[in-house]
Amino acid sequence: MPIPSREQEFFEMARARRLRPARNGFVDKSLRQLAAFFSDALLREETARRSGLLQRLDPRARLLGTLFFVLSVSLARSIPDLAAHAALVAAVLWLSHVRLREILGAGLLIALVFSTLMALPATLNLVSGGKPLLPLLVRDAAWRLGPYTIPPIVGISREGLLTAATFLLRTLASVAAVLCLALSTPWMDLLRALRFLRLPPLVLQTLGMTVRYLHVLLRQSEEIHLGKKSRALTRRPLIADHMWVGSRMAYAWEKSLRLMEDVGEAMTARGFTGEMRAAPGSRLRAADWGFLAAVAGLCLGAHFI
Amino acid sequence: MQPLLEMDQVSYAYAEGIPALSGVSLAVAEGERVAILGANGCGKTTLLKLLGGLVFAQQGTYRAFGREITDPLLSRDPFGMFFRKEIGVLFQHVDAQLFNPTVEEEIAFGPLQLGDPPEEVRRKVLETMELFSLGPLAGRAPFALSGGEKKKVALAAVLATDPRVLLLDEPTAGLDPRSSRILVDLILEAQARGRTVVTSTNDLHVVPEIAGRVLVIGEDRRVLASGTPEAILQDREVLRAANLIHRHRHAHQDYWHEHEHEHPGVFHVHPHDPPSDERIA
Repeated sequence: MPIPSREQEFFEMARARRLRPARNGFVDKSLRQLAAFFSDALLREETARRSGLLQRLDPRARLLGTLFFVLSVSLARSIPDLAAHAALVAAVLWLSHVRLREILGAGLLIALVFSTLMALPATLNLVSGGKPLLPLLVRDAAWRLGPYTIPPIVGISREGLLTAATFLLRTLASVAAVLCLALSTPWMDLLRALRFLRLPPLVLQTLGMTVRYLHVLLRQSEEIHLGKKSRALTRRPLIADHMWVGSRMAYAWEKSLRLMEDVGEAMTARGFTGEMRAAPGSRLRAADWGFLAAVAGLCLGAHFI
Repeated sequence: MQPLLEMDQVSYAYAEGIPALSGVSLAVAEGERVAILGANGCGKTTLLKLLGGLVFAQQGTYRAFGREITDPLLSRDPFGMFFRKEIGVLFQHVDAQLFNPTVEEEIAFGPLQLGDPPEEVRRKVLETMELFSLGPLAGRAPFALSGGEKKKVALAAVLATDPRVLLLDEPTAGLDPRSSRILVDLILEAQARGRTVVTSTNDLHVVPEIAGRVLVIGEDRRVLASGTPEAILQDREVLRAANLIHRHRHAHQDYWHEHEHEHPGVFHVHPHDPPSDERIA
C-alpha cells in the first residue's frame, strides 16, 4: 500500500476537520486598497522624475504658474477664452510627458464625471433660458409647480449648452492644471514651494512630517498585514478578524504615539526650540522666469480672443 | 528530482514603480540549506516574501510543492492552507508577526487554526516552549519582550505548525552576540530535523554554519553569484561587488594599514604586515 504523502495526509486531515482556505477577505482588501490609495496619492513620484517641461523648472515657478493660470481661467468668460486656456494646459501636460491615462487616473476622470452631472441641469431652458434646440418634454401650455412656472416645452437650449460648456471648461482646465502640478512635483518640493507664499513654516513642516510618517506607518501596516497573512493558515470567523483589526489599530496607535515622542525628543536634541527656521531658497533661474512670462502672456492673450 | 521551491526569471517592483528584484532564478531542493547574501536594499526580504507567497511577481514564475504559486491559488484553493502550513516565515521585524496577547497564545495560534484538539494544542505548546526555553515567558505579552526574546517567540510560533520549509529574514539582525548564538543554534536544530531552510543575511560569519549553498544578490537586484559558502566567502571580488565587505584603512604609530573588512558584530582581529603597509610621511 503506497505511503500517503504529506500533502495527501494534510488534505485528509483538512477534510475531516472541515478546514477552509483563508480567503482574501475584507480586511485584506481594505488594507491593500488603503495602502494603494496613499501610495498613489502621496508617494507617486514616477511622473515627477521624467524630464519634461515642468519637471525641469523650479517648484516655486510651477506653483506660481499654476496659481496664475487658475486665477486667469476663473476670470475667463467666453468659450474661445476658456478653450484657449484648456489648450494651454493640454500643451503643458504633453510637454511634461504626463500621459492622458495618468491624469485621468489622478482625478480628472472623477472631476469630469461629477462636473458633467452638475452641468446637466444647466443645459435645460428651464435653468438657463433660451429656445429649446432639443425638446425633452412638450405640453400644451405652461404649468405651475408650486411657486415655479414650467414652460410648455422643456429641452436643451443653446444658452444651456453654452452655460454647461463654460462651467465644464473652467472646472476641467483648473483641475487639470492642479493635477499637472501635483504629478510633476514631489510632495516635499511642493510643501517647500508653499513657503514662497508666506504660509507659516510650522504648518508646512507639520504637513511635511505628517506625509513622511504616514509613509512610515503605512509600511508598518503592510508588514503587520503580511505578518498575519503568513500565519493565516485557514479561514477564521469574521469576529476573529474584527478583533485582530481592533488589536492592530490599538497597536498602530501606540506605535504612532511612541514615534511622536521619539521625533519630538530627536528634534529637541538637535536644537529645536519651537520656532521653525528654514534655509532661504535659491533664486529663480532665467528658464523659470521665462515660463512664468509665457504663462502670463498666453493667459492674458486668451482673454482678448 | 523536482526542486521543492523553484523561481524562474522572477521580477518584482513596488507599487511606486521602484524595482525590488530583477530576473532572479532560484531552485531549492528538499532538505537544502540556502543562504541569500546581499547588502541592505538589494531585495533579500522581497525574495523571501515571494518564496513565502506573501507577494507575487509581476514577471516570471514561482513553483512550490509542484504547483505554480498565484494569489488566487493560495487564497481560494485548499492547497493554500497546505502551503501556509508547510512554509514558515520569520520576518526581520518580528513585531509584525506577534499579535496575540501572551506568548503561550502566540504559539498556540497555528495549531488552533489547524483545528487540533485542545490536548494536542496544549502538548505542542508545552513542547515548543520547552525546546525554546520560553516557559518563564508564557504569560508575558510578546510586545513587551526584548528583541532576542521576540525573535525566539516568533520562531517558536512558526515552528509550532511543523513547517517543511523555513524562510528566515535576517534572523540575527539587531541581536547581541549571545542572543544571536541562541537563535543560530535553534536554526541548526531545525535544519538537523530535515527542514529546508532559506536564510537571508548580511552576517558573513554565520553563513558557513547555516548554509550548504549561498546565493549572492547584487545591488542591481540581480543574482551576482552562487556557490558553496567556502567558494563565495573566498571570492573577495564578489563580496566587494555586493557591498558585503569594504576596504578599511587605519593608522598605527608610523604606518597606514589597509585590509578588507566586514562588520559581523563580533570582535575583529586581523594580521598586520608593517613592511607592506604604507609609511605615514
